[in-house]
Amino acid sequence: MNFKSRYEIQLDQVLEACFEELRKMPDREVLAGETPVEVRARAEARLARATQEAGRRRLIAARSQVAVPRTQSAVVRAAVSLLEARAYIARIIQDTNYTLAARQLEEMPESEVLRLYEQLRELEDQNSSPEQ
Amino acid sequence: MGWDSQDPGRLSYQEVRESLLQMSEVDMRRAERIADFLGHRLPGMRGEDLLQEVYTQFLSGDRRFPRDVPALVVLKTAMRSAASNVRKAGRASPVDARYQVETVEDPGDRRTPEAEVLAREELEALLTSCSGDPDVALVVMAWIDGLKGEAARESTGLGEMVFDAARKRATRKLAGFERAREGS
Repeated sequence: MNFKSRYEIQLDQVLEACFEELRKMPDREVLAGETPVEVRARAEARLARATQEAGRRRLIAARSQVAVPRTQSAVVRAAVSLLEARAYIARIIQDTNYTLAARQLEEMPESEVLRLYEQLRELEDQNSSPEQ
Repeated sequence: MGWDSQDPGRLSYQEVRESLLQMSEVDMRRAERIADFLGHRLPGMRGEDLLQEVYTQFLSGDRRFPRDVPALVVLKTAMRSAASNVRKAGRASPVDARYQVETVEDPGDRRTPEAEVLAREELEALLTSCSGDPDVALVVMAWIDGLKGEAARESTGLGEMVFDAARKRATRKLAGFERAREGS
């Protein structure tokens, strides 16, 4: 699939040509009067600033992650017993408009019971979330 | 993207730092030259800002730093992508909705009028910047057409020595050798 227009491809071609010329250019010409020490000092300062900014961005991202995943407490709930899961589902069925016969619940495979339990808990979490 | 990606083909945080620090000083300067080439026409951004932005994206994990690729090549590719994003985000006015993308036969083509207009404007600006030196303009036009080496020289109609001199001037022009280094 072609994702680039003719002009974009042409721009890339100029960049590549210039890049190749720079790679072939003798070191002395590339530095153009600067010393390697000066260039390295600049690169290290850039890395230090970037490290600080990257840390700030990661912190913001981590905070936003913490604010969201009430639903991801499923990991903690994974240890719930089958008995508890069935009891929870039965109570929800009784208290709400979900339609599921008691017999269906009895006959439901264990994996299905736990899956339904997780879904219902997630719905409950979402409904009780302060952001909702 | 973040750092939790299980991707063996990408450098870890520490490896990214080491890779950037282990570049030779000349390659560091080359990266600055490419940043200047890509960045000096960007709205509200200098080449140094562009270079630092990709450093930041690599260290924050937002951009993948591939393993077994020279750092200079990785930086060049990342800066090209970041410059394109900045250009699109910084465009002051919307592209004319009547602009028609060139007709192509590929049904998977996802080009947008915006990207195409921006690229065309960029090319025009490049050629305008070379207009004071006709031989340099010829070389840049050959590069725009994807020509290299002898094919590029033949397309310009220049003799070997004149072409070589113009090629070097074109590189210095595009890579900002004639501009004062933007502050760091």
